[in-house]
Amino acid sequence: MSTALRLEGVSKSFGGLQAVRAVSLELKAQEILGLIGPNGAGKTTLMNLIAGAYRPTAGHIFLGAREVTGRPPFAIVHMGIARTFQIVRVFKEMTVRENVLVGALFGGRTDRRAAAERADEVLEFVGLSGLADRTTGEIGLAEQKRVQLARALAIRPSVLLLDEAMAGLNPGEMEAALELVRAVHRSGVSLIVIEHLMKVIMGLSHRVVVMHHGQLLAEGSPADVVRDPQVVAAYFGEHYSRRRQRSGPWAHRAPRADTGRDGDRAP
Amino acid sequence: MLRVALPVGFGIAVLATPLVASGYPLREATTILMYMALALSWNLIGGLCGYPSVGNVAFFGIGAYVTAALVAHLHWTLLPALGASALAALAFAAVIGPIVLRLNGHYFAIATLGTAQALGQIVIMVPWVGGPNGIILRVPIGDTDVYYLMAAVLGLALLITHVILRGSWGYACRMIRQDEHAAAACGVNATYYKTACWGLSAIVAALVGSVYAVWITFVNPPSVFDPLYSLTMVVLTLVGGAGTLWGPVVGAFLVEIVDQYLWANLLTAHTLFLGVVIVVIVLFLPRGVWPYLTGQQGLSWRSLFEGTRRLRV
Repeated sequence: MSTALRLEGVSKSFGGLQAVRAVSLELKAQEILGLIGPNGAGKTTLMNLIAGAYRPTAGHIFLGAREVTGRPPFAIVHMGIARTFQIVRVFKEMTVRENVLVGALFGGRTDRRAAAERADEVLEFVGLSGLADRTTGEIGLAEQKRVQLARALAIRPSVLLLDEAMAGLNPGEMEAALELVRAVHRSGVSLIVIEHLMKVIMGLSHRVVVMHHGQLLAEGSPADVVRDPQVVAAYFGEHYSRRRQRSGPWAHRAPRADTGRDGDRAP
Repeated sequence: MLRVALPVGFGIAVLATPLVASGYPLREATTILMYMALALSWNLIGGLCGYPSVGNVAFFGIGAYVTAALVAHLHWTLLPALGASALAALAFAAVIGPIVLRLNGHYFAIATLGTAQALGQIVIMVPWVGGPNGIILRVPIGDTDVYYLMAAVLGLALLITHVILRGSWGYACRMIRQDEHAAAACGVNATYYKTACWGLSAIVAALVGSVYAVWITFVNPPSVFDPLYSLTMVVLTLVGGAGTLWGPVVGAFLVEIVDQYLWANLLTAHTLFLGVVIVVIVLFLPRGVWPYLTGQQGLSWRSLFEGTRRLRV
Protein backbone atom coordinates (compact mmCIF):
# COMPACT_ATOMS: atom_id res chain seq x y z
CA MET A 1 0.00 0.00 0.00
CA SER A 2 1.24 3.45 -0.77
CA THR A 3 1.67 6.14 1.83
CA ALA A 4 -0.87 8.92 2.14
CA LEU A 5 0.85 10.93 4.84
CA ARG A 6 4.27 10.59 6.41
CA LEU A 7 5.71 12.30 9.49
CA GLU A 8 9.48 12.23 10.05
CA GLY A 9 10.76 13.19 13.48
CA VAL A 10 8.17 15.89 14.01
CA SER A 11 8.64 17.93 17.21
CA LYS A 12 6.93 20.96 18.66
CA SER A 13 7.83 22.92 21.76
CA PHE A 14 5.98 25.80 23.35
CA GLY A 15 8.66 27.64 25.29
CA GLY A 16 10.07 25.02 27.64
CA LEU A 17 7.26 22.53 27.07
CA GLN A 18 7.88 19.81 24.51
CA ALA A 19 4.35 18.99 23.41
CA VAL A 20 5.39 16.64 20.61
CA ARG A 21 8.77 14.89 20.51
CA ALA A 22 10.25 13.32 17.41
CA VAL A 23 7.10 11.64 16.18
CA SER A 24 7.48 9.55 13.04
CA LEU A 25 4.50 7.78 11.61
CA GLU A 26 2.87 6.78 8.38
CA LEU A 27 -0.71 6.87 7.28
CA LYS A 28 -1.22 4.38 4.48
CA ALA A 29 -3.56 5.12 1.63
CA GLN A 30 -7.12 4.02 2.36
CA GLU A 31 -6.32 3.47 6.01
CA ILE A 32 -8.08 4.53 9.19
CA LEU A 33 -5.40 5.25 11.77
CA GLY A 34 -6.56 5.65 15.36
CA LEU A 35 -4.59 8.08 17.51
CA ILE A 36 -5.07 7.60 21.23
CA GLY A 37 -3.37 8.63 24.43
CA PRO A 38 -4.14 10.14 27.83
CA ASN A 39 -5.13 13.78 28.19
CA GLY A 40 -2.28 16.11 27.33
CA ALA A 41 -0.43 13.46 25.34
CA GLY A 42 -0.07 15.81 22.37
CA LYS A 43 -2.66 14.33 20.03
CA THR A 44 -4.39 17.57 19.12
CA THR A 45 -1.03 19.34 18.84
CA LEU A 46 0.01 16.69 16.33
CA MET A 47 -3.18 17.34 14.35
CA ASN A 48 -2.47 21.06 14.40
CA LEU A 49 1.05 20.39 13.12
CA ILE A 50 -0.23 18.30 10.23
CA ALA A 51 -2.92 20.87 9.38
CA GLY A 52 -0.39 23.72 9.51
CA ALA A 53 -1.94 25.59 12.43
CA TYR A 54 1.43 25.19 14.16
CA ARG A 55 4.82 25.06 12.51
CA PRO A 56 6.95 22.12 13.70
CA THR A 57 10.11 23.03 15.63
CA ALA A 58 11.79 20.09 13.89
CA GLY A 59 10.94 17.35 11.43
CA HIS A 60 9.12 16.99 8.15
CA ILE A 61 5.60 16.15 7.03
CA PHE A 62 4.87 14.77 3.57
CA LEU A 63 1.59 14.31 1.77
CA GLY A 64 2.44 11.60 -0.73
CA ALA A 65 5.66 12.89 -2.25
CA ARG A 66 5.03 16.57 -1.52
CA GLU A 67 6.29 18.26 1.61
CA VAL A 68 3.70 20.25 3.56
CA THR A 69 5.90 21.32 6.49
CA GLY A 70 5.70 25.02 7.24
CA ARG A 71 2.99 25.83 4.72
CA PRO A 72 0.06 27.95 5.89
CA PRO A 73 -3.14 26.07 6.84
CA PHE A 74 -5.13 27.20 3.79
CA ALA A 75 -2.43 25.95 1.41
CA ILE A 76 -2.36 22.58 3.16
CA VAL A 77 -6.12 22.37 2.68
CA HIS A 78 -5.60 23.04 -1.03
CA MET A 79 -3.10 20.16 -1.12
CA GLY A 80 -5.78 17.81 0.14
CA ILE A 81 -5.67 17.61 3.94
CA ALA A 82 -8.94 18.52 5.64
CA ARG A 83 -9.75 18.51 9.33
CA THR A 84 -12.47 18.85 11.90
CA PHE A 85 -11.98 20.58 15.24
CA GLN A 86 -12.30 19.04 18.67
CA ILE A 87 -14.39 21.99 19.81
CA VAL A 88 -16.87 22.48 16.98
CA ARG A 89 -16.03 25.40 14.73
CA VAL A 90 -18.86 26.02 12.32
CA PHE A 91 -19.99 29.35 10.90
CA LYS A 92 -22.97 29.83 13.17
CA GLU A 93 -24.44 32.79 11.33
CA MET A 94 -24.53 30.95 8.01
CA THR A 95 -26.98 28.30 6.92
CA VAL A 96 -25.98 24.65 6.95
CA ARG A 97 -25.78 24.65 3.16
CA GLU A 98 -23.54 27.73 3.11
CA ASN A 99 -21.22 26.11 5.65
CA VAL A 100 -20.67 23.19 3.32
CA LEU A 101 -20.65 25.33 0.18
CA VAL A 102 -17.71 27.43 1.40
CA GLY A 103 -15.70 24.25 1.92
CA ALA A 104 -16.14 23.35 -1.74
CA LEU A 105 -15.74 26.95 -2.88
CA PHE A 106 -12.43 27.74 -1.13
CA GLY A 107 -11.06 24.32 -0.24
CA GLY A 108 -12.13 22.52 -3.39
CA ARG A 109 -11.50 25.66 -5.42
CA THR A 110 -14.51 25.38 -7.66
CA ASP A 111 -16.86 28.06 -8.92
CA ARG A 112 -20.11 29.01 -7.19
CA ARG A 113 -22.33 26.71 -9.23
CA ALA A 114 -20.13 23.65 -8.81
CA ALA A 115 -19.72 24.44 -5.10
CA ALA A 116 -23.50 24.58 -4.64
CA GLU A 117 -23.87 21.21 -6.36
CA ARG A 118 -21.09 19.70 -4.31
CA ALA A 119 -22.70 21.08 -1.12
CA ASP A 120 -26.04 19.44 -1.88
CA GLU A 121 -24.30 16.19 -2.74
CA VAL A 122 -22.35 16.14 0.54
CA LEU A 123 -25.38 17.20 2.59
CA GLU A 124 -27.24 14.25 1.11
CA PHE A 125 -24.30 11.96 1.91
CA VAL A 126 -24.12 12.98 5.58
CA GLY A 127 -27.91 13.08 5.93
CA LEU A 128 -28.30 16.81 6.50
CA SER A 129 -30.41 17.68 3.47
CA GLY A 130 -33.40 18.32 5.70
CA LEU A 131 -31.53 20.98 7.68
CA ALA A 132 -29.83 22.64 4.71
CA ASP A 133 -31.59 25.99 5.08
CA ARG A 134 -31.40 26.22 8.87
CA THR A 135 -29.04 28.66 10.56
CA THR A 136 -26.15 26.55 11.82
CA GLY A 137 -26.06 28.19 15.27
CA GLU A 138 -29.60 26.98 15.92
CA ILE A 139 -29.15 23.25 15.35
CA GLY A 140 -27.95 20.67 17.88
CA LEU A 141 -24.36 19.70 18.66
CA ALA A 142 -24.55 16.34 16.90
CA GLU A 143 -25.78 18.08 13.75
CA GLN A 144 -23.13 20.79 14.04
CA LYS A 145 -20.48 18.07 14.21
CA ARG A 146 -21.98 16.62 11.07
CA VAL A 147 -21.86 20.04 9.40
CA GLN A 148 -18.19 20.28 10.30
CA LEU A 149 -17.55 16.88 8.76
CA ALA A 150 -19.59 17.76 5.68
CA ARG A 151 -17.63 20.98 5.26
CA ALA A 152 -14.37 19.02 5.39
CA LEU A 153 -15.69 16.47 2.88
CA ALA A 154 -16.79 19.19 0.49
CA ILE A 155 -13.10 20.03 0.11
CA ARG A 156 -12.61 16.55 -1.48
CA PRO A 157 -9.60 15.77 0.71
CA SER A 158 -7.34 12.79 0.26
CA VAL A 159 -6.53 12.83 3.98
CA LEU A 160 -9.05 13.71 6.66
CA LEU A 161 -8.13 14.46 10.28
CA LEU A 162 -10.97 13.88 12.74
CA ASP A 163 -10.38 15.28 16.22
CA GLU A 164 -12.87 13.71 18.62
CA ALA A 165 -15.68 13.72 16.13
CA MET A 166 -17.77 11.50 18.41
CA ALA A 167 -17.28 13.14 21.82
CA GLY A 168 -20.51 14.39 23.34
CA LEU A 169 -22.79 12.33 21.12
CA ASN A 170 -25.42 9.99 22.58
CA PRO A 171 -25.23 6.26 21.71
CA GLY A 172 -27.68 6.55 18.82
CA GLU A 173 -25.92 9.56 17.33
CA MET A 174 -22.58 7.82 17.76
CA GLU A 175 -23.69 4.72 15.89
CA ALA A 176 -24.80 6.95 13.03
CA ALA A 177 -21.56 8.94 13.12
CA LEU A 178 -19.49 5.72 13.06
CA GLU A 179 -21.40 4.50 10.05
CA LEU A 180 -20.79 7.86 8.40
CA VAL A 181 -17.04 7.73 9.01
CA ARG A 182 -16.96 4.23 7.50
CA ALA A 183 -18.83 5.54 4.47
CA VAL A 184 -16.31 8.37 4.15
CA HIS A 185 -13.53 5.80 4.27
CA ARG A 186 -15.21 3.69 1.60
CA SER A 187 -15.33 6.74 -0.65
CA GLY A 188 -11.51 6.58 -0.78
CA VAL A 189 -10.35 8.94 1.97
CA SER A 190 -7.50 8.08 4.36
CA LEU A 191 -8.25 9.09 7.93
CA ILE A 192 -6.49 9.87 11.17
CA VAL A 193 -8.98 9.63 14.00
CA ILE A 194 -8.34 11.01 17.49
CA GLU A 195 -10.80 9.59 19.93
CA HIS A 196 -11.04 9.11 23.66
CA LEU A 197 -13.80 6.57 23.39
CA MET A 198 -12.20 3.16 23.04
CA LYS A 199 -15.36 1.72 21.57
CA VAL A 200 -14.96 4.05 18.60
CA ILE A 201 -11.24 3.42 18.18
CA MET A 202 -11.60 -0.35 18.44
CA GLY A 203 -14.49 -0.48 16.03
CA LEU A 204 -13.06 1.88 13.45
CA SER A 205 -9.28 1.76 13.23
CA HIS A 206 -7.22 -0.52 11.07
CA ARG A 207 -4.18 0.43 13.09
CA VAL A 208 -3.69 2.36 16.32
CA VAL A 209 -0.84 4.55 17.52
CA VAL A 210 -0.58 5.57 21.15
CA MET A 211 0.93 8.86 22.27
CA HIS A 212 2.15 9.64 25.75
CA HIS A 213 4.01 12.76 26.94
CA GLY A 214 4.35 13.86 23.32
CA GLN A 215 6.01 10.65 22.14
CA LEU A 216 4.84 7.58 20.29
CA LEU A 217 4.44 4.85 22.85
CA ALA A 218 3.07 1.96 20.86
CA GLU A 219 1.72 1.05 17.48
CA GLY A 220 -0.18 -1.94 16.19
CA SER A 221 -3.56 -3.49 15.68
CA PRO A 222 -6.26 -2.21 18.04
CA ALA A 223 -6.37 -5.52 19.93
CA ASP A 224 -2.58 -5.67 20.42
CA VAL A 225 -2.23 -2.07 21.49
CA VAL A 226 -4.67 -2.30 24.36
CA ARG A 227 -2.77 -5.32 25.71
CA ASP A 228 0.55 -3.52 25.59
CA PRO A 229 1.76 -3.12 29.20
CA GLN A 230 3.28 0.30 28.41
CA VAL A 231 -0.07 1.51 27.14
CA VAL A 232 -1.89 0.19 30.17
CA ALA A 233 0.68 1.92 32.36
CA ALA A 234 0.21 5.20 30.53
CA TYR A 235 -3.53 5.10 31.01
CA PHE A 236 -3.84 3.57 34.47
CA GLY A 237 -0.47 4.31 36.07
CA GLU A 238 2.56 2.12 36.75
CA HIS A 239 1.11 0.68 39.89
CA TYR A 240 -1.90 -0.87 38.25
CA SER A 241 0.18 -2.10 35.36
CA ARG A 242 2.72 -3.83 37.60
CA ARG A 243 0.03 -5.43 39.67
CA ARG A 244 -1.62 -6.75 36.58
CA GLN A 245 1.58 -8.24 35.27
CA ARG A 246 2.36 -9.91 38.55
CA SER A 247 -0.64 -12.20 38.61
CA GLY A 248 -2.71 -9.66 40.49
CA PRO A 249 -6.39 -10.12 41.14
CA TRP A 250 -7.21 -9.07 37.57
CA ALA A 251 -4.44 -10.93 35.83
CA HIS A 252 -6.71 -13.61 34.43
CA ARG A 253 -9.00 -11.08 32.82
CA ALA A 254 -8.57 -9.81 29.30
CA PRO A 255 -7.92 -6.07 29.40
CA ARG A 256 -11.09 -4.11 28.96
CA ALA A 257 -10.26 -1.26 26.75
CA ASP A 258 -13.51 0.62 27.19
CA THR A 259 -12.78 1.30 30.82
CA GLY A 260 -9.99 3.69 29.87
CA ARG A 261 -9.45 6.77 31.93
CA ASP A 262 -11.80 8.72 29.74
CA GLY A 263 -14.24 5.90 29.50
CA ASP A 264 -16.49 7.82 31.85
CA ARG A 265 -17.11 10.22 29.01
CA ALA A 266 -18.97 7.50 27.20
CA PRO A 267 -22.69 7.90 27.65
CA MET B 1 -37.89 45.16 -6.05
CA LEU B 2 -35.88 46.76 -3.27
CA ARG B 3 -32.70 45.63 -4.93
CA VAL B 4 -33.31 47.85 -7.95
CA ALA B 5 -35.53 50.56 -6.49
CA LEU B 6 -33.25 51.42 -3.61
CA PRO B 7 -30.01 52.13 -5.50
CA VAL B 8 -31.87 53.92 -8.29
CA GLY B 9 -33.94 56.02 -5.87
CA PHE B 10 -30.91 56.80 -3.75
CA GLY B 11 -28.88 57.69 -6.83
CA ILE B 12 -31.53 60.06 -8.14
CA ALA B 13 -31.92 61.69 -4.73
CA VAL B 14 -28.18 62.21 -4.43
CA LEU B 15 -27.77 63.56 -7.97
CA ALA B 16 -30.82 65.85 -7.75
CA THR B 17 -29.99 67.46 -4.42
CA PRO B 18 -27.87 70.32 -5.89
CA LEU B 19 -30.83 71.25 -8.13
CA VAL B 20 -32.94 72.11 -5.13
CA ALA B 21 -30.34 73.02 -2.53
CA SER B 22 -27.48 75.48 -2.36
CA GLY B 23 -25.49 77.25 0.29
CA TYR B 24 -25.71 75.80 3.77
CA PRO B 25 -28.13 72.91 3.00
CA LEU B 26 -25.91 71.77 0.13
CA ARG B 27 -22.82 71.88 2.32
CA GLU B 28 -24.73 69.91 4.94
CA ALA B 29 -25.65 67.37 2.26
CA THR B 30 -21.96 67.15 1.27
CA THR B 31 -21.11 66.44 4.90
CA ILE B 32 -23.66 63.64 5.02
CA LEU B 33 -22.26 62.08 1.83
CA MET B 34 -18.78 62.36 3.33
CA TYR B 35 -19.78 60.49 6.47
CA MET B 36 -21.61 57.86 4.41
CA ALA B 37 -18.43 57.20 2.44
CA LEU B 38 -16.30 57.17 5.60
CA ALA B 39 -18.68 54.72 7.26
CA LEU B 40 -18.48 52.49 4.17
CA SER B 41 -14.70 52.69 4.36
CA TRP B 42 -14.73 51.40 7.96
CA ASN B 43 -17.36 48.84 7.05
CA LEU B 44 -14.98 47.20 4.57
CA ILE B 45 -12.52 46.22 7.28
CA GLY B 46 -14.52 46.49 10.52
CA GLY B 47 -17.94 45.38 9.32
CA LEU B 48 -17.12 42.79 6.69
CA CYS B 49 -13.97 41.26 8.17
CA GLY B 50 -14.70 41.99 11.84
CA TYR B 51 -11.42 43.84 12.34
CA PRO B 52 -12.39 46.90 14.43
CA SER B 53 -10.00 49.53 13.11
CA VAL B 54 -9.85 52.68 15.23
CA GLY B 55 -7.27 54.22 12.96
CA ASN B 56 -8.97 54.77 9.62
CA VAL B 57 -8.44 58.48 10.09
CA ALA B 58 -4.84 57.78 9.09
CA PHE B 59 -6.01 57.11 5.53
CA PHE B 60 -8.28 60.15 5.59
CA GLY B 61 -5.36 62.28 6.74
CA ILE B 62 -2.98 60.83 4.17
CA GLY B 63 -5.52 61.56 1.43
CA ALA B 64 -6.02 65.13 2.61
CA TYR B 65 -2.30 65.83 3.04
CA VAL B 66 -1.12 64.26 -0.20
CA THR B 67 -3.73 66.18 -2.18
CA ALA B 68 -2.95 69.43 -0.38
CA ALA B 69 0.80 69.06 -0.87
CA LEU B 70 0.58 68.06 -4.52
CA VAL B 71 -1.86 70.83 -5.39
CA ALA B 72 -0.33 73.63 -3.30
CA HIS B 73 3.39 72.83 -3.59
CA LEU B 74 3.73 70.94 -6.86
CA HIS B 75 0.80 72.57 -8.70
CA TRP B 76 -0.81 69.31 -9.71
CA THR B 77 -4.34 69.40 -11.03
CA LEU B 78 -7.08 67.92 -8.93
CA LEU B 79 -7.80 64.51 -10.49
CA PRO B 80 -4.18 63.26 -10.65
CA ALA B 81 -3.80 64.45 -7.06
CA LEU B 82 -6.85 62.41 -6.04
CA GLY B 83 -5.38 59.31 -7.70
CA ALA B 84 -1.99 59.86 -6.05
CA SER B 85 -3.69 60.26 -2.67
CA ALA B 86 -5.50 56.95 -3.06
CA LEU B 87 -2.25 55.24 -4.08
CA ALA B 88 -0.36 56.77 -1.15
CA ALA B 89 -2.97 55.50 1.33
CA LEU B 90 -2.96 52.11 -0.37
CA ALA B 91 0.82 51.91 -0.05
CA PHE B 92 0.63 52.85 3.63
CA ALA B 93 -2.09 50.21 4.18
CA ALA B 94 0.00 47.60 2.37
CA VAL B 95 2.98 48.32 4.61
CA ILE B 96 1.24 48.31 7.99
CA GLY B 97 -1.58 45.89 7.07
CA PRO B 98 0.41 42.64 7.26
CA ILE B 99 1.71 43.79 10.66
CA VAL B 100 -1.44 45.02 12.40
CA LEU B 101 -3.74 42.47 10.77
CA ARG B 102 -1.91 39.72 12.65
CA LEU B 103 -3.64 41.08 15.73
CA ASN B 104 -7.34 40.98 16.32
CA GLY B 105 -10.01 42.30 18.64
CA HIS B 106 -8.84 44.92 21.13
CA TYR B 107 -5.22 44.48 20.13
CA PHE B 108 -5.97 45.37 16.53
CA ALA B 109 -8.06 48.35 17.66
CA ILE B 110 -5.25 49.71 19.84
CA ALA B 111 -2.58 49.08 17.19
CA THR B 112 -4.55 51.00 14.56
CA LEU B 113 -5.35 53.81 16.99
CA GLY B 114 -1.67 54.13 17.84
CA THR B 115 -0.61 54.05 14.19
CA ALA B 116 -2.96 56.88 13.27
CA GLN B 117 -1.91 59.00 16.26
CA ALA B 118 1.75 58.44 15.50
CA LEU B 119 1.25 59.40 11.88
CA GLY B 120 -0.39 62.68 12.93
CA GLN B 121 2.61 63.44 15.16
CA ILE B 122 5.08 62.58 12.42
CA VAL B 123 3.35 64.95 10.00
CA ILE B 124 3.82 67.79 12.53
CA MET B 125 7.57 67.26 12.26
CA VAL B 126 7.75 67.52 8.46
CA PRO B 127 8.46 71.15 7.43
CA TRP B 128 7.68 70.53 3.75
CA VAL B 129 4.00 70.02 4.58
CA GLY B 130 3.95 72.99 6.93
CA GLY B 131 4.59 71.19 10.21
CA PRO B 132 1.98 72.16 12.79
CA ASN B 133 0.73 75.00 10.56
CA GLY B 134 -0.53 72.77 7.79
CA ILE B 135 -1.11 73.69 4.16
CA ILE B 136 -3.47 76.13 2.51
CA LEU B 137 -4.61 75.09 -0.95
CA ARG B 138 -6.82 76.76 -3.51
CA VAL B 139 -8.65 74.75 -6.10
CA PRO B 140 -11.05 76.80 -8.20
CA ILE B 141 -14.15 74.69 -7.78
CA GLY B 142 -17.53 75.51 -6.28
CA ASP B 143 -19.74 73.84 -3.68
CA THR B 144 -21.67 71.89 -6.31
CA ASP B 145 -18.49 70.40 -7.80
CA VAL B 146 -17.34 69.35 -4.35
CA TYR B 147 -20.72 67.80 -3.73
CA TYR B 148 -20.52 65.74 -6.92
CA LEU B 149 -16.94 64.70 -6.18
CA MET B 150 -18.07 63.46 -2.77
CA ALA B 151 -21.02 61.70 -4.40
CA ALA B 152 -18.61 59.99 -6.82
CA VAL B 153 -16.48 58.73 -3.93
CA LEU B 154 -19.62 57.47 -2.19
CA GLY B 155 -20.69 55.73 -5.39
CA LEU B 156 -17.28 54.05 -5.63
CA ALA B 157 -17.50 52.91 -1.99
CA LEU B 158 -20.96 51.45 -2.58
CA LEU B 159 -19.79 49.71 -5.75
CA ILE B 160 -16.76 48.16 -4.02
CA THR B 161 -18.90 46.93 -1.11
CA HIS B 162 -21.55 45.56 -3.46
CA VAL B 163 -19.04 43.65 -5.56
CA ILE B 164 -17.41 42.15 -2.47
CA LEU B 165 -20.68 41.14 -0.84
CA ARG B 166 -22.05 39.59 -4.01
CA GLY B 167 -19.16 37.31 -4.87
CA SER B 168 -17.29 34.55 -3.11
CA TRP B 169 -15.16 37.30 -1.59
CA GLY B 170 -18.17 38.11 0.59
CA TYR B 171 -18.22 34.55 1.88
CA ALA B 172 -14.54 34.76 2.70
CA CYS B 173 -15.13 37.95 4.71
CA ARG B 174 -18.06 36.47 6.61
CA MET B 175 -15.97 33.40 7.43
CA ILE B 176 -13.04 35.49 8.62
CA ARG B 177 -15.38 37.57 10.78
CA GLN B 178 -16.98 34.53 12.39
CA ASP B 179 -13.98 32.24 12.88
CA GLU B 180 -10.67 32.83 11.19
CA HIS B 181 -9.23 29.42 12.11
CA ALA B 182 -12.23 27.65 10.64
CA ALA B 183 -11.93 29.85 7.56
CA ALA B 184 -8.31 28.74 7.12
CA ALA B 185 -9.40 25.12 7.58
CA CYS B 186 -11.75 25.65 4.64
CA GLY B 187 -8.89 26.82 2.45
CA VAL B 188 -9.45 30.58 2.77
CA ASN B 189 -6.28 32.67 2.51
CA ALA B 190 -7.39 35.02 5.29
CA THR B 191 -4.33 37.26 5.09
CA TYR B 192 -5.03 37.96 1.43
CA TYR B 193 -8.69 38.87 1.90
CA LYS B 194 -8.08 40.91 5.06
CA THR B 195 -5.27 42.89 3.48
CA ALA B 196 -7.29 43.50 0.32
CA CYS B 197 -10.27 44.79 2.33
CA TRP B 198 -7.94 46.94 4.40
CA GLY B 199 -6.44 48.41 1.22
CA LEU B 200 -9.85 49.17 -0.28
CA SER B 201 -10.91 50.74 3.01
CA ALA B 202 -7.79 52.91 2.80
CA ILE B 203 -8.53 53.99 -0.77
CA VAL B 204 -12.07 55.08 0.07
CA ALA B 205 -11.04 56.99 3.20
CA ALA B 206 -8.16 58.66 1.33
CA LEU B 207 -10.42 59.83 -1.49
CA VAL B 208 -12.84 61.29 1.05
CA GLY B 209 -9.90 63.04 2.72
CA SER B 210 -8.72 64.43 -0.63
CA VAL B 211 -12.09 65.91 -1.49
CA TYR B 212 -12.39 67.23 2.07
CA ALA B 213 -9.04 69.03 1.74
CA VAL B 214 -10.09 70.65 -1.52
CA TRP B 215 -13.41 71.64 0.01
CA ILE B 216 -12.08 73.10 3.28
CA THR B 217 -8.99 74.55 1.46
CA PHE B 218 -6.85 73.99 4.54
CA VAL B 219 -5.30 70.96 6.22
CA ASN B 220 -3.38 70.72 9.48
CA PRO B 221 -2.64 67.72 11.71
CA PRO B 222 -5.31 68.30 14.39
CA SER B 223 -8.06 68.69 11.80
CA VAL B 224 -7.38 65.77 9.44
CA PHE B 225 -5.80 63.34 11.92
CA ASP B 226 -8.54 63.91 14.48
CA PRO B 227 -9.24 60.49 16.11
CA LEU B 228 -12.89 61.53 16.34
CA TYR B 229 -13.21 60.68 12.63
CA SER B 230 -12.17 57.09 13.35
CA LEU B 231 -14.70 56.80 16.15
CA THR B 232 -17.45 58.40 14.07
CA MET B 233 -16.90 55.82 11.31
CA VAL B 234 -17.35 53.03 13.88
CA VAL B 235 -20.46 54.55 15.44
CA LEU B 236 -22.19 55.32 12.13
CA THR B 237 -21.58 51.78 10.86
CA LEU B 238 -22.70 50.07 14.06
CA VAL B 239 -25.86 52.19 14.20
CA GLY B 240 -26.72 51.46 10.59
CA GLY B 241 -25.67 47.82 10.41
CA ALA B 242 -22.11 46.56 10.16
CA GLY B 243 -21.27 44.18 7.34
CA THR B 244 -24.21 45.24 5.17
CA LEU B 245 -24.21 47.37 2.02
CA TRP B 246 -26.77 49.98 3.05
CA GLY B 247 -26.29 49.91 6.81
CA PRO B 248 -23.43 52.44 6.92
CA VAL B 249 -25.35 54.74 4.54
CA VAL B 250 -28.49 54.60 6.68
CA GLY B 251 -26.47 55.00 9.88
CA ALA B 252 -24.60 58.06 8.60
CA PHE B 253 -27.84 59.64 7.37
CA LEU B 254 -29.74 59.03 10.63
CA VAL B 255 -27.00 60.15 12.97
CA GLU B 256 -26.21 63.27 10.95
CA ILE B 257 -29.87 64.27 10.73
CA VAL B 258 -30.43 63.67 14.44
CA ASP B 259 -27.18 65.49 15.19
CA GLN B 260 -28.25 68.51 13.13
CA TYR B 261 -31.69 68.57 14.70
CA LEU B 262 -30.33 68.35 18.23
CA TRP B 263 -27.62 70.87 17.48
CA ALA B 264 -30.17 73.37 16.21
CA ASN B 265 -32.51 72.86 19.14
CA LEU B 266 -30.34 71.93 22.10
CA LEU B 267 -27.11 73.74 21.45
CA THR B 268 -25.61 73.32 24.92
CA ALA B 269 -26.38 69.64 25.48
CA HIS B 270 -26.68 68.24 21.98
CA THR B 271 -23.82 65.74 22.27
CA LEU B 272 -25.38 64.37 25.46
CA PHE B 273 -28.67 63.68 23.70
CA LEU B 274 -26.92 62.36 20.60
CA GLY B 275 -25.04 59.94 22.84
CA VAL B 276 -28.30 58.76 24.42
CA VAL B 277 -29.87 58.22 20.99
CA ILE B 278 -26.87 56.17 19.82
CA VAL B 279 -26.76 54.07 22.99
CA VAL B 280 -30.48 53.30 22.74
CA ILE B 281 -30.19 52.29 19.08
CA VAL B 282 -27.16 50.10 19.65
CA LEU B 283 -28.69 48.41 22.70
CA PHE B 284 -32.03 47.63 21.15
CA LEU B 285 -30.87 46.99 17.61
CA PRO B 286 -27.47 45.38 18.15
CA ARG B 287 -27.18 44.46 14.50
CA GLY B 288 -28.11 47.96 13.41
CA VAL B 289 -31.05 49.85 11.95
CA TRP B 290 -30.77 48.45 8.42
CA PRO B 291 -31.21 44.75 9.35
CA TYR B 292 -34.25 45.87 11.35
CA LEU B 293 -35.73 47.79 8.42
CA THR B 294 -35.27 44.81 6.11
CA GLY B 295 -36.84 42.46 8.65
CA GLN B 296 -33.68 40.46 9.37
CA GLN B 297 -33.74 41.50 13.00
CA GLY B 298 -36.70 42.00 15.32
CA LEU B 299 -37.01 44.57 18.07
CA SER B 300 -37.56 43.21 21.55
CA TRP B 301 -36.35 43.37 25.12
CA ARG B 302 -34.27 40.31 24.41
CA SER B 303 -32.04 42.24 22.03
CA LEU B 304 -30.81 44.13 25.10
CA PHE B 305 -29.01 40.99 26.24
CA GLU B 306 -28.10 39.86 22.76
CA GLY B 307 -26.35 43.18 22.32
CA THR B 308 -24.18 42.81 25.38
CA ARG B 309 -22.79 39.57 24.05
CA ARG B 310 -22.52 40.45 20.40
CA LEU B 311 -20.68 43.74 20.47
CA ARG B 312 -17.23 42.50 21.31
CA VAL B 313 -15.45 45.23 19.42
